[in-house]
Amino acid sequence: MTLAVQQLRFAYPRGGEELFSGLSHDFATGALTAITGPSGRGKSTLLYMLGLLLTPTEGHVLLDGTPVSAASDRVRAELRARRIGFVFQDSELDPTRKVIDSVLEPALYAGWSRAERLADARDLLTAFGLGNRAEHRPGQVSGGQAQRLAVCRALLNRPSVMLADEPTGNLDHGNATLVLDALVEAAHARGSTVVIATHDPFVLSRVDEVIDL
Amino acid sequence: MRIRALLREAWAATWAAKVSSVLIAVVVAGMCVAAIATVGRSAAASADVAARMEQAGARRLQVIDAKAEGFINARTLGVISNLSSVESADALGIPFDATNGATGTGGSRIPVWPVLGSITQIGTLTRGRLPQPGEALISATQLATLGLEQPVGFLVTTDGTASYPIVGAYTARAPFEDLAGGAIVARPDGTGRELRVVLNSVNATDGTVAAVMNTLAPRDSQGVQVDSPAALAQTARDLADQLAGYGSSLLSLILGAGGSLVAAVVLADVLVRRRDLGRRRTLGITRADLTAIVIVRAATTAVIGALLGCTAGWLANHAIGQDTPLSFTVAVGVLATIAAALAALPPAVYATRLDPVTVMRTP
Repeated sequence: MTLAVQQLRFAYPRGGEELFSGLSHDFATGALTAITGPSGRGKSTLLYMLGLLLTPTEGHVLLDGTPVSAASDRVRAELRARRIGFVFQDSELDPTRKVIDSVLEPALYAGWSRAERLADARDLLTAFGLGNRAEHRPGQVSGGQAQRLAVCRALLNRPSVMLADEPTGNLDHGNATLVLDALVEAAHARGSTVVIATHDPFVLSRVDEVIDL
Repeated sequence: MRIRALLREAWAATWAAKVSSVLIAVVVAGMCVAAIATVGRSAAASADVAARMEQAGARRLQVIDAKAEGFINARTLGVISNLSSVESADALGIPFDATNGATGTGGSRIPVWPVLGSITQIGTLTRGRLPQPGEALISATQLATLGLEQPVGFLVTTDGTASYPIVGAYTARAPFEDLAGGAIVARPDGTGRELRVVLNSVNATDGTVAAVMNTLAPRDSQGVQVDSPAALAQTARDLADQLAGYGSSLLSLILGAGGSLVAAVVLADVLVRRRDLGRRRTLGITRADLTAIVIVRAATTAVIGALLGCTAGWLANHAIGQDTPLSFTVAVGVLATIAAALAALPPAVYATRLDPVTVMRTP
């Protein structure tokens, strides 16, 4: 298993409610897993914990069998850049840069030069039907296109884990379908472990497994 | 991140946040203008004092043999001239009055100084030739006084007992400007009343005075008058120290105030762009790289501000006739840039400590 959690517990500081109650789970490689449940049960918190942005109060997040949740900030940042792709609820593209620069951003953090990955970024955009948008600004593309651009950004470093927080939350059905298709392709065709935090029944209907908090 | 990628990201961030970038550049430019307009003038004044202290007149050491002991003579003059801290040494005898020999002893009088040592160090020959022993040069300004159109003829003492052929004219050089009002007679083998030494530097005053006095070795120290630039040199040093102290205090104040403003601007920018920073952290930028981006961005705009400010400050001082030393101007620009970069460090560190989860989950 690429990604797993063991005996996971978490509580926000200053008396926050304890979450997850010792959750253990192995996330299937090359599959989509949805984290769902009522608001306040920690869907996004679990996602950010899998993304090594939050440290569990107890238990571990394991990447390739190695506990990494308590690693140094630098190590966790490097793992996020090289091994983990993020898709936010809002695409979070840099509004001041061209689309191609936003897609290339994680590659720079992973130690690549822009020139080394430019062709890969253009190939990804083309594969997702966005090849003609590379030189546009985020304000010049639709919400659905922006979210698919965010998927391209998450895929650029060929991550073994992709995390998506309500990726279709702000999209209409058509665009949500396109984004989900992209995530499905990332899991099934590219072999990534894709984890989606969502309460959208449409998304739940497309994933391979569900963790109900 | 690779250096080139980091610089590119920093420049992109600079270009994206134009308002704060312009503010940083303006603050740094203001720091430079203020520093050059105030501290720069102190530095210019200090440099002017130093330059004045290096003029020959300020480097003059004078010894007078008031009791005519005869210790100022060709031998002692030769020894003193060869001291390593001495630029030139000449001795003058007791001046006497003389008139144009052609008009007799009743004509207009001018003072005549007997000179030991090199005539060329006292004046510049403008006409005629250098005098042999017993011959005279007349100051170019005194030709008319004696009714002469050309430096020819002879001088005669007012008592008519001695005469000196005039072989040329001269203009006096520093520190012998007082000899412009008369004539000089070469008398290399006589004794002098007054020794004038031009030092290489006022800083060598104390050691040179000691060496000169050891060479002259007067029997009666009461009969010797020494006028050295030691007090002047000390005054100049004190003045330079005071100017430097005032300047460094003022410069520190300007850099501190400007740095605080830069820090405030960078902090405000960090707060405004916290979502951008949170995205970068989530996507995997390290704290070190994020810190570097924030600092490089501030330093980039600071360099632009420093270039503009230093140029404006230098031109402003130049316009009022107080040229600021170029080295000082460059130093101010470098210091202002460093101050801005250092001021950006705390906000940069703060930016790396922002919780990306909180930031990204806040609409």
